[in-house]
Amino acid sequence: MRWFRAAVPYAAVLTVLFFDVLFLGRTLDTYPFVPGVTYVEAGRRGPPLCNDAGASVWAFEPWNRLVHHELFEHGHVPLWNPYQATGAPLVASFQSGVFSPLQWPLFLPTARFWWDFLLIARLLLAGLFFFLFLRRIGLDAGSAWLGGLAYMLTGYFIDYINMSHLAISLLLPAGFYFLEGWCRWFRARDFIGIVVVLSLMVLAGMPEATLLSWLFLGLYGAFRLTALGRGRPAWTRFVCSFVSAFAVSAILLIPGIEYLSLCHSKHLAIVYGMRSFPLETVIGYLVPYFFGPPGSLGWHPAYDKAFHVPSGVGVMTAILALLGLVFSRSRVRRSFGAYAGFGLLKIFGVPPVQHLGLLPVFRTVVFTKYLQPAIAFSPAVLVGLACGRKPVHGG
Amino acid sequence: MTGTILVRLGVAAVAVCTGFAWAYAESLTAIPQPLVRLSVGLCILFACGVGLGAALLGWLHKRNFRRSTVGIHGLVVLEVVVLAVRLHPPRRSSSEPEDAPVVRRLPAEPNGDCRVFGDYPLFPNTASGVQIPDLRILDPILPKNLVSSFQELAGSPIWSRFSFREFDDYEHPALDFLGVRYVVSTRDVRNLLLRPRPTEPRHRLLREPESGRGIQLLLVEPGSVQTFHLPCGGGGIALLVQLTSGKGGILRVGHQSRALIETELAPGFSRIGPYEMVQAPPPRSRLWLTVETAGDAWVAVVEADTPEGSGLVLQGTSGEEFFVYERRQALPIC
Repeated sequence: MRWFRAAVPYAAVLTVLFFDVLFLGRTLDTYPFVPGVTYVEAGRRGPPLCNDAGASVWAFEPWNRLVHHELFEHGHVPLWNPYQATGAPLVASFQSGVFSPLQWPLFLPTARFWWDFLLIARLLLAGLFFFLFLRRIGLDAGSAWLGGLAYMLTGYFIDYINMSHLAISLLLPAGFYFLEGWCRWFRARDFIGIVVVLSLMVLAGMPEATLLSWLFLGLYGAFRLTALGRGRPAWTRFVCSFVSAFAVSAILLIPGIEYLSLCHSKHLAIVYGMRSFPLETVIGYLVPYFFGPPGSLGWHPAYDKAFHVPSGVGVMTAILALLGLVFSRSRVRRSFGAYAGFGLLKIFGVPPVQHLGLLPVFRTVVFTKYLQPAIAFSPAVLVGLACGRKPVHGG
Repeated sequence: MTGTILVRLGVAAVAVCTGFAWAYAESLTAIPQPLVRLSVGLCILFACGVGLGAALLGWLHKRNFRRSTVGIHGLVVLEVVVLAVRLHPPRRSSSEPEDAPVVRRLPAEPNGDCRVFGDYPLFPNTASGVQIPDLRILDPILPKNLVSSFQELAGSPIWSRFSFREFDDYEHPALDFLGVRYVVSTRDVRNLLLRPRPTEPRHRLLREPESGRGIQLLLVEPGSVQTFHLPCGGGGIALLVQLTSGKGGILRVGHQSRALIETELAPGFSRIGPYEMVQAPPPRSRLWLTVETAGDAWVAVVEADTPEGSGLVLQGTSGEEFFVYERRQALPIC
């Protein structure tokens, strides 16, 4: 029950932070700030304080309500959206997440409190698995708890708390947890865990976030198998776990891929992969919202309202991450340092790393948005390593 | 963990933060929005404080202070939690999702034999949530046949992710063909062939509390203007204006009164106030109240016939203004 000892304080922190949401009838929903089909408060002033107030109101909330309506009032699984355009695929458009178990609770009641509760609960899940992962690589409970907290409440998750793609980023710790266990002990339950996590990522319906999360997990798995000197059978099974996840996700991938050939998309026409942050916005990591609160009109030309400044981690996390990188005795520190460094070079557009965004598939990915969870993951691990009291046996 | 390194890193963090703040000092102080200026300033101060705290803890650690490690852990927790509070997303009163006025003003046709089109008041995509067919679509990927067909029919591309954003010819026959019967718009396009869609009447009551006399009004929206002469009593409240039937917004105007309006005027456009009447009407002057409506918005203006009362400021408010039109023909959709 070691997870329980971490879960309780995490839950306590989240309860304090979101006390008004959980008990005082407030909401994390952004509906007061943008026009939708529910209330919008005329004359509402002030920034919405989240990076994308529109998407959840314009897309996820209507789709959730539609699925709820079709499932519980008509009694059928909604594959098609007759209310959009002249009719449009619902499942095949990926983002609706009809087949995503992570999304299913959102289809139940359409009460705002329930949605808020789920948004907060998924933070708890991320913190908990992060703690378990750090414990698995040998950190003591206190340091692991601290690392989990740093990840659970990293600026990116608070900025995008209303977004459904967060479900994928919040699954990363679970993926690392199972991957680490499988690389060490080859247990079937860890293998199943990896397949489940990878499948959940795909079924969540956000291809860009899924691609980068898979890549992050794949690189870590490759690094661990190499570091542990595993042979070809281990590598074969490692690849099998990804292939199995593809197979499990076929229910979404087959219609989705078919739709791709029948759709028009600006995403496919524009090179999103070359987008980057201006270099001076790096200060945003130390001083979150140096360029203004999210959703506010930024004062600096570099600030472009929606998701165009880095989400901060804070001074102490940055300092301890550096200490962990330099002074920890764990071998995993180098890999996480490398991930963070590589990610930062990419999102700040430093060549030649920046040119990764020209490659096929990667050219459609908005790295500045979807790479940030992986970048936030590494400092949180390094914070745990910096604070670790006993030697790490993760090498 | 090395105390010396922690001290250096803490000082370096403070130097970096203050350096950036110094470099941008001119822009920072010129931020037009006070709230944004304040929050940026607080963020910089907090970051510097944490940096100094780290340096202090590093110094204590160097001197083998027993609690320094606990302090370092505590500072991490403090910073992470405070930043999460600082960055906390909007907190508004929660409620069950309730349809916006624009939705209520559209016909309730669960099986929908017609589509809606328009602009801002009904955002693309959102109508799916209330089962109203909307020709528009907001998605990174659009059905190719829709894109090509519409270009053929209307000669206008809809490449945007917010499809049809640039297309505002609400009378185009292509919309008939595609089953568009209702247009929702912020624009007043009554001069076109479209006809305003009659909506349910909204009763508004003017009442004089002293006499108890009430005037029931039926304001036809949008854009109706009604003006009334108001007898102003010697003291107290001269007039109560109830501006909606359901939610009971009350506007008080009168001698020496300071009107405080906190009301829900029209369903969906709530939280009008509090607004305060900044100037009381002079005693025994004659007042005129003008109530102007436009869609679900309203403006109330009081004028007096005395010099003191001229230009009397009554801070009314306006909600979001939109119009719903019914198009003359549309092919039913299957």
